[in-house]
Parts: sequence; structure tokens; C-alpha cells
Amino acid sequence: MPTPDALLVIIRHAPHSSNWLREGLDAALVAGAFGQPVHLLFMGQGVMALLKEQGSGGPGQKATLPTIDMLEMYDIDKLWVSEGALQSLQISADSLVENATLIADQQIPGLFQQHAKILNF
Amino acid sequence: MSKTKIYRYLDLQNKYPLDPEGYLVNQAEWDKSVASLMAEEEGLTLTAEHWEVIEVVRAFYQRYEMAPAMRPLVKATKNALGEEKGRSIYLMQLFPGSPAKRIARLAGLPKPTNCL
Amino acid sequence: MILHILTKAPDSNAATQMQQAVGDRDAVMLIEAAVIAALDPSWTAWQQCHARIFLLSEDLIARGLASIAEVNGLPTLEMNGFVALTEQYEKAVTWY
Repeated sequence: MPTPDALLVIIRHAPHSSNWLREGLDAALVAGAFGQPVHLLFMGQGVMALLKEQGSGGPGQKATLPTIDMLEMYDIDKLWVSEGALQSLQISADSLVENATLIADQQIPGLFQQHAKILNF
Repeated sequence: MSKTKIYRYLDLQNKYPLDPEGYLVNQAEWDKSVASLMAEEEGLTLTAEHWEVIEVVRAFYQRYEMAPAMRPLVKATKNALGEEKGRSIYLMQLFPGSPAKRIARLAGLPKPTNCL
Repeated sequence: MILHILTKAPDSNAATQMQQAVGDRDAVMLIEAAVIAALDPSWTAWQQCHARIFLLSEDLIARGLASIAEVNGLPTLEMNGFVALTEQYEKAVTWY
């Protein structure tokens, strides 16, 4: 279970829709670069950031997948994914990157309580 | 990244434009001689130990599309070159100051984002 | 104990996700577009967070919803009440 001083970053927006996702991942990386333990929770359309088949989109648009893969180099290896979000988007867990961990929606409030700091993107 | 502002040139023939922070404007122009020129300018002589770390950073960029900050740089070095070299002290000795930024520059990459 | 601050309408993704995250002892402050919730006393969050969910008066007044909130018997807080709430809870999470 999470370390009490860990930062929880919540990702709720899909790639290629807005800057929210990028900013959320950047916040996680900066905290990780400082040695702060970081956990990520993907809710709603945010789960789409973990699709392993995603590409890079239009010219000048940065792909998300390389950044997701890079998280482990910043020692960010807890990537929780809302099971309910997957169900409502009809995405199967096998379509996601390896290190994603499903979390039942009933456990989400508990996850919020366990973290001293929460950033919501 | 052709939009990047050219600030000065690395060489007297004006072949290699640099941005205001000294990073290579056209990443595709990078080769070992460019790296050597940059190092020379910094008063650094590149040895085999330097080159293998530069390669680690170039491989990191290839895979993740970002140059590493210090922490992931140490981890990537450890993964590629072993425990002995995968330590910040070792990287500080090779590239004194801010290793993450210096290596990214020498490797012809953009400045690391999230860099401290 | 968390204070959740919702800034989007009750039918938004932000509202749905907030409802998934609210714990038993958490409170909810509805501000900006979220005060549209005054129009819908049957919104599930009213029951879910009973006695710990409030509309911000100023944003109700700005939208002409203050009397509707009163008719619907929904709890409101003034700005200083909101500030007091943020002091009472150890952390706040904003949903936008």
C-alpha cells in the first residue's frame, strides 16, 4: 500500500484532446525527478493514455506512450486504473500497457484518503 | 525544430547553429565530431567513459522522446553500464556541474524537461 | 477527510468522477458551473453527501439561482463559510 507521503496525480483527460494529460504527466515527472514518491490514478477518459497501440497523432504532437513508458525511469511504477472507466469505455485490460493495475471503483475513495497530497488533472 | 532561434554558431564555418542555451538547433546534424567540438568549447576532453554515457542518453531519448533528468539518467546508466557507473557521483566526475544538461547538449538533444 | 470542490455542472465527467472519489467523511463544495445543481434536487450527490454538500451563494446569485436553491431546500454557504470549510478539512481536491 502507498507510502503516506506519496503524491497522487489523477489523470482524467485523454491524449490529443487538451493539454491536461501532458500537464498531469509533467507534474508527476517533476515530482519524481525530486525523489518524491508518486502514484498515478487514471479515471474516465484518462485511461486512454494507457492504450498500448496508440500512436503519435499529427505533426508536432508528442506521443503519450513513450512518456508512459518513461515513468518507471522516474521510479513511478504505481499506475492505478479505474475498472469502471474501462468498463464504460469498453476497453479490455489487455489493451493497456503492462504495468497498469486495475482498481475497483469502491476502492477509489480509500486511495484518496491514503495520500497526503493530491493533484487533479 | 527549425523554429528554434539561432543564437550563435558552434564552428567558425557557421555550419552548426546553437540555441541561446548552447543546444544544437538541428538535431539531425549531430555526429561525434559535433560532440567533440562542443566538449572542446566546454574545456572537456571526451574519453571512452564519456562516450558510453552519451550513448546511454541518446538511446534514452530514442526510446522515450525526452532527455532524462538526473534521477532517470542515473537509473538508465545503471541499467546499461552497471552499478559502478550508475551513480550520480560518477556522472558528476565525468560531466561536472549539471550532468543531465551537459550530456543532453553533447548528445545533440534538446535540454531535458523537468530538469532541476 | 477531503473537501472536494466541484466547478463543473452535475452532468459533467468531472462531477461523475468526483462522486466516485468522495468518501464517507468528505465534504463537497459546489462552485461556478456546479451551482446549476440547485435546479436538480434529485441529483444523486445530494443524497450521497447528505449534510456535507453545499452550494456557494455568490455563484448562485450571479446565475439567478439563489431563490430556486431555497425553494428546493438545498444547503448554501457564503464565501466565508467556504473558507472555514477549507480550514476544517486536511486537504482539498478541485474537480474542473
